[in-house]
Amino acid sequence: MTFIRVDDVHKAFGDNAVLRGMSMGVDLHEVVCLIGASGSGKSTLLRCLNGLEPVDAGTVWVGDIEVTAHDVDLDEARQKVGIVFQQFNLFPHMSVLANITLGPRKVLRQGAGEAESNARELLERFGLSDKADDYPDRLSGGQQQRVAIVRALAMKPEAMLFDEVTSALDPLLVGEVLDVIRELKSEGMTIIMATHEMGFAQEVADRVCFLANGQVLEQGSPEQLFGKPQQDLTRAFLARVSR
Amino acid sequence: MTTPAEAPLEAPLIPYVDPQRHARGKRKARRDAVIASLSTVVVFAVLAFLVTATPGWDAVKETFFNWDEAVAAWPTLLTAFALNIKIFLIAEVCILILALVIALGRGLRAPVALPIRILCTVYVDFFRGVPTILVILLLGFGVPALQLKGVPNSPVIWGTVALILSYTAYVAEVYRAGIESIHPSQRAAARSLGLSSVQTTRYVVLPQAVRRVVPPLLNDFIALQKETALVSLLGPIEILRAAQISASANFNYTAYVVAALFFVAITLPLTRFTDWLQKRDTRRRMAGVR
Repeated sequence: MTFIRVDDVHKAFGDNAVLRGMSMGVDLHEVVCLIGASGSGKSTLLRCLNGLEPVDAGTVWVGDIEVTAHDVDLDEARQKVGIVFQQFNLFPHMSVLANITLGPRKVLRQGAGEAESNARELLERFGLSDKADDYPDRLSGGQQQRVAIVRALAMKPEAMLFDEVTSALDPLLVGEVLDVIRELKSEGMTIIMATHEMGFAQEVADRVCFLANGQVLEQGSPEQLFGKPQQDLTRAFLARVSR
Repeated sequence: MTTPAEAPLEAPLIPYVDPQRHARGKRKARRDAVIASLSTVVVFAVLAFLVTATPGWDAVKETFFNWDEAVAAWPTLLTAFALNIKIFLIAEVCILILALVIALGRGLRAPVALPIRILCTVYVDFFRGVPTILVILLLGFGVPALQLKGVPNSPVIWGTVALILSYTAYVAEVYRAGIESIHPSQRAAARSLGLSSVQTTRYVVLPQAVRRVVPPLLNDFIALQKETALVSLLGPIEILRAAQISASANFNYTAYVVAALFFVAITLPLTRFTDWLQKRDTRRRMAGVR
């Protein structure tokens, strides 16, 4: 069952057309990895999926909500999909616990006690219990990114978007963040992930999409896409990243 | 879930300093302290000698630093200074609130809010451009002259209102700079959690912005505390006016000097506090760099 559907989406920043007739679909419980050169539109696509960037043309559906409709309640649509950014974007003036409970308390209208016990449960699951009262700048990059994931999960989203979540991390800390994503996959979370970690994409993805020129140029199972790429551009890209 | 990456990769290192280096460092620190105190004592002794040895010093001392005059004047000045303190305390509270409203008003982007945005911008442009003293005279003499029913004509009230109007414009700009200094990614993160625009401003942007602008804001308040003296133009006996009365009665300016010391005494803690805040802020930001 298709959960997220992107249909002929165009998006430009000034003269720079980033998405040019992008179309794709993601099924419930599917893990899709977006790969492609910097500027190929991976981040922009993810940001269009939850309405952080308005599209110039085309439609985006998340579940039964059309995110691109002119009268859409974006605040409601955004509760369905969590997004995690490359730069973590934790709120520096709040403790880890406050970061995580802000959304549930203010948007889902949970009581402070309920929100807090949910948050502690999530922190426990991802090995962060002892960080609950710390401020973000006391944490390592890997810990900050895991907190950012927990913060998104606390909203009980139906899908998660990961925007190059390991690109800003020390190589030693990449593993702990990828572990979290593995765990989410094993629970059946629907995931769209822009990444430069080809090895990880090969391991967890049900489907890999190669983005070029603002479109999905080629897609398929990891075996297909990494093993027998059909397009010259795909081959060139893979040759460059595997070097 | 446990992550192996959590385990420390190496044992904590015990600091080691060469004992000879350590001793040398200690000696140098001691020598530096002695030199610093010596040079300070010498310089200030020479300065004191030069000043007191100047031919006109006795006249200066008599006119500006007359101990008896100071003792006689200070209780009156202290009573009068209470009015200055009352004025700036009331003004500061009002300014903090009004300026925030103006700053937020200027940030409104909804089409229906355009008139509010225009009003706030015009307000700030106007009151930043007009001299405070002019606003004080205009309101303090102008409004009571209208003889409106139910409108107070106390010069203290209108002087305070003038200060509030003038300084709110400055402080609103300070707030606005703080709000604009918060990176858009913070807003994006909050919105993507489903927070509304208002909630994002309230819980994510403003708390960070206000923390950032505390030092410049205190700076404006230090200026405001001094400018309460301008209210004397309207007649009420605040400290400057009290000093003036004392000075013209005795042909001695010591009362002005005492009044000056009162102002310094009240702003000094605030200046030092601002310095300390700024230093702490820098230290924190440096500590954040990994």
